Amino acid sequence: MRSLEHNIMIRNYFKIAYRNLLRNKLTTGLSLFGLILGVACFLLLATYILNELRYDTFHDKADRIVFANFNYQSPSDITAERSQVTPTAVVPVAKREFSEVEEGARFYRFNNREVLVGNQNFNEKNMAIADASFFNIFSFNFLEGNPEDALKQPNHLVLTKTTAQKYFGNRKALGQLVEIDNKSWKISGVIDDIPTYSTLQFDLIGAYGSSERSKTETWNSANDWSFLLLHKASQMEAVQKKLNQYTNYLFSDDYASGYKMWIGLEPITRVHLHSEISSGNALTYIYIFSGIAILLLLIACINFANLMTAKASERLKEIGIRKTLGAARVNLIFQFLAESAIITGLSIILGVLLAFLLLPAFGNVANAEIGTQSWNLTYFVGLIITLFVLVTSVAGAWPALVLSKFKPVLALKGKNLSFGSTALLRKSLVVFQFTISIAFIMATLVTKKQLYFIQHTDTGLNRNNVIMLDASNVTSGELATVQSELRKNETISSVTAAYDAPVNVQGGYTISVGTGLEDDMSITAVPVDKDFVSTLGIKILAGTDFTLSDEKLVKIEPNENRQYAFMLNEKAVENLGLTAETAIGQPANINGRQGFIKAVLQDFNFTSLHEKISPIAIFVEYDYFGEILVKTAGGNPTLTISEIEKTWQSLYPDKTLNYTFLDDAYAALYKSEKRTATILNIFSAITIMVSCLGLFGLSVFTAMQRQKEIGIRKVLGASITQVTAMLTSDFLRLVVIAIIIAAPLAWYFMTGWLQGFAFKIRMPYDLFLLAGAIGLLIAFLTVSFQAIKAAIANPVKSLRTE
Amino acid sequence: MLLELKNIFKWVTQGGKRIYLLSDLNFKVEEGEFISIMGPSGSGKSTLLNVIGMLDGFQEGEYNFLEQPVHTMKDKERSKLYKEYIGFVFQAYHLIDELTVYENIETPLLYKNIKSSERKALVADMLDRFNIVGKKDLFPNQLSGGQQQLVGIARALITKPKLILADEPTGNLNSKQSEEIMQLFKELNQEGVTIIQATHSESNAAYGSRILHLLDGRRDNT
Repeated sequence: MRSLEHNIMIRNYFKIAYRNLLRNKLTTGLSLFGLILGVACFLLLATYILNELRYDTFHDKADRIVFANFNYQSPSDITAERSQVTPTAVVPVAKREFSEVEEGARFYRFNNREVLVGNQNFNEKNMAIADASFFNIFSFNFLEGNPEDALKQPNHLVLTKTTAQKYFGNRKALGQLVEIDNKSWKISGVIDDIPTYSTLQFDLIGAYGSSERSKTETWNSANDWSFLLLHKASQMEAVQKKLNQYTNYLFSDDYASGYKMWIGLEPITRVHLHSEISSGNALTYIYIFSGIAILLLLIACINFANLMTAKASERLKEIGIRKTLGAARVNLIFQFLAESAIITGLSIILGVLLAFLLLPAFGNVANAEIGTQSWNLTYFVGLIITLFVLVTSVAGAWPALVLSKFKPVLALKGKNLSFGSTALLRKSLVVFQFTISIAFIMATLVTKKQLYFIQHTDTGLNRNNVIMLDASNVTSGELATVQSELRKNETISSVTAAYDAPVNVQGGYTISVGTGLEDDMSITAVPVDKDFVSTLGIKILAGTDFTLSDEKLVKIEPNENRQYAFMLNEKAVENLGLTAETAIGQPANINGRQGFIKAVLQDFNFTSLHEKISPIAIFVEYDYFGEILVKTAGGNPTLTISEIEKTWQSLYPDKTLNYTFLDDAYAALYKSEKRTATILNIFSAITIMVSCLGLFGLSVFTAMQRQKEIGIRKVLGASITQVTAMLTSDFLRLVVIAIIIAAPLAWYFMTGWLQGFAFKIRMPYDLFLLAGAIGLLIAFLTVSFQAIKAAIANPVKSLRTE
Repeated sequence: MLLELKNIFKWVTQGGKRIYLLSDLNFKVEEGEFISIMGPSGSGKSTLLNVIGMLDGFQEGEYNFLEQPVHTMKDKERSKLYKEYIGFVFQAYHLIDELTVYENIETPLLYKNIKSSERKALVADMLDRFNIVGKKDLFPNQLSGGQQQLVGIARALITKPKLILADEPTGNLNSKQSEEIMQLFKELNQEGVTIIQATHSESNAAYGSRILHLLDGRRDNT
């Protein structure tokens, strides 16, 4: 019986709430629209975050898998270089020597392979090879073949579902043969496509035994990802200790001369978010995204609460009547919560729908392959329920408490009660909304300016009209032919080659200078073709450019008789205690290459602008080039590329040409910054929009509440302009306060962000003013519409007594 | 002559039919008159006051105020004219709730761009004259109805208008307060201020020098 009454009561709450919402179309519409946007954005960001948090956790043995990294520190290095690739010996040694290690697997990137299937050629950018135990450690779902022996035999190959379909259509792939590097490989398995939330990404994976590298255990070079499966998750520290002892012993000679090398371990589930060696700022993104998601939702909730309380005076009579009819405060609280619940429920339903529609577009922007697969049901339903409860109470609690408080007699009189504290809170909330919005605009403008700076600052290296061809398949002997063939094209002004992309030189070497040759210094260095400096317009401060004779001197056989010509940058010369003049002609040795310093180059950025310019040496050497650099005379790039493609086809009919523009390669270094900028851009627009929805609603109510006052003032002689100014200035004052609060906030966060760049703009305070002006203008446009409407209205109507 | 209405017609269209609020109204007012407009509810008293006060327009006819044609004026000129010469007193007082007595009286001066020192002097005079100096910092809801109307009149007088338009100024007051207000109007009139009041009350109307009877928007000469 009681529960029946209860039900009727609840039904009654919702019925009344529904009617109330329907009657107040404007408030309902504005709250709803804001909340839908808030919920949709929240879900999009939550999807991204869920996707990040579940990285690598899908493996059954995830808690026991550890990832090894390799650390190297020379005496002159302040901090150790940490790399994610390790020597081939790590896994076999760990398996043999340490009882805690159950299994181990190496994973080696085998990129840019031409795969011949029948007579069709596929260029595979994402191939790898791994030890036989790979599929015992990691849980990838096998569609054909089985995990135990898929990678046991050399030249066995496992494909992902997509790759298998690409090669064989719907035919069975298992047992088929393909050709890679002139060898026949047998398909030994097909697995489901790799989830996006996996650090290990590949389209096809072969047996480690297929490669020469499987035959020797070396500590000298590091190129493999190493994974260990422990018996117990808790044993990582024990293994780490043993590894340290082992490397201390193994590298004791190097340790004695001040070099340090060690292997570090970390759980695989931490790699993506916490490790500096994964793509980087994943964790930062989680913080940024969570922050944005929560703030946006909060701003939308504030709209609802603000509009509800603003309407309070209109509902006083209703509240009064209800109270005199015997409603307890608690009944009224439920009444208002019901309204909030309806709005929230509706906006969650529509928000989910909107998020669903926007997910692919958002994935694009966020550069993450996210989809509804991340909406894992258990997580998702929990999230939605939490969201519903939280938003209903956050948005509904304050109005419910305020509105239910009024004394019935006062409320019935409908007289203007003093809303003092409520009005103050409402104003504070508007200030909060606009503080966030304006801080976002400021951050957006600062990131934009820094990105513009990156794109347009002179890095000392001319990237204009330079096309970079992937030369990893071209032997150094063939280079001369490629160069001369390409040079025949009129639109190409010069052709050169380098070991690395010149915008991101990685090679770590050591240099010693002078006759004594005793002091080593760490230096970045890159082997290049002799036209490198002139092609890229790098300035020579002293000395002369490389010549044909330099080329000849490094092609002498045997190697020991070669004579190298080195070019050093200013920084290197300075660190060596030399000047541009005294450096020229000094004998020098870089990792065994004997020669002299031929020229000193003006400093140029050879890595991202995050880093300071460090010492670099460039020298001609014709052993290996990763990139061919083609400088064109400008003009139509597509035309030039089709010309290059023709030349390439005539030289290498069976190899695909892979190319990028040097400018794009440079821009790619700032992918994550660009992503930050885009995301900030979008969300600052949405934040300000939602804030304005609320402001608009408030301006409508203020205009309504002050209708009488406006009428009186007009009769007393106020002009339309004066009334408009009066109504808008109250709101604009709040926005000005918001600007004042937002500026230091934006300053703090953006200083932190800019700190990540060695080359950066000065904090652009003028942009803060601009952001403030934008915020003010948008707010003005939002409220002035209502204000003008109210100001134009004929006072005779609002002052009518009967 | 202060003002003259000639053949004024004002109507609203409802359901395709014209409903006349004012119909062929002719009316002259000399300076220094005290006129009472009487008539039942809906007879057009307020409408007429609004038209005279230039708050509301009309469709046909001529309206001259101080020899100037109001009906051909632009909004700006019209508002300049009434700011200068006309003060309003309302039945419901229409004080601004958020402003104190002092500020309420001061407001019309603000809109006339009067300097602060002069404003102070003018408001102080007015408070003095109405014996409400002690109430200057109170808000309207702290005053009795009669006091509120007193403030309303003070506010109307602050710009030294030639004409006061009062729409049932005592409608919300008891008889004693009512009498005080009417007495005040009489004094003002003797000082030379022209007053036009709309009223239901015969006794209030008697304070005036002339009575204009309205019925259904027309002069009722019966």
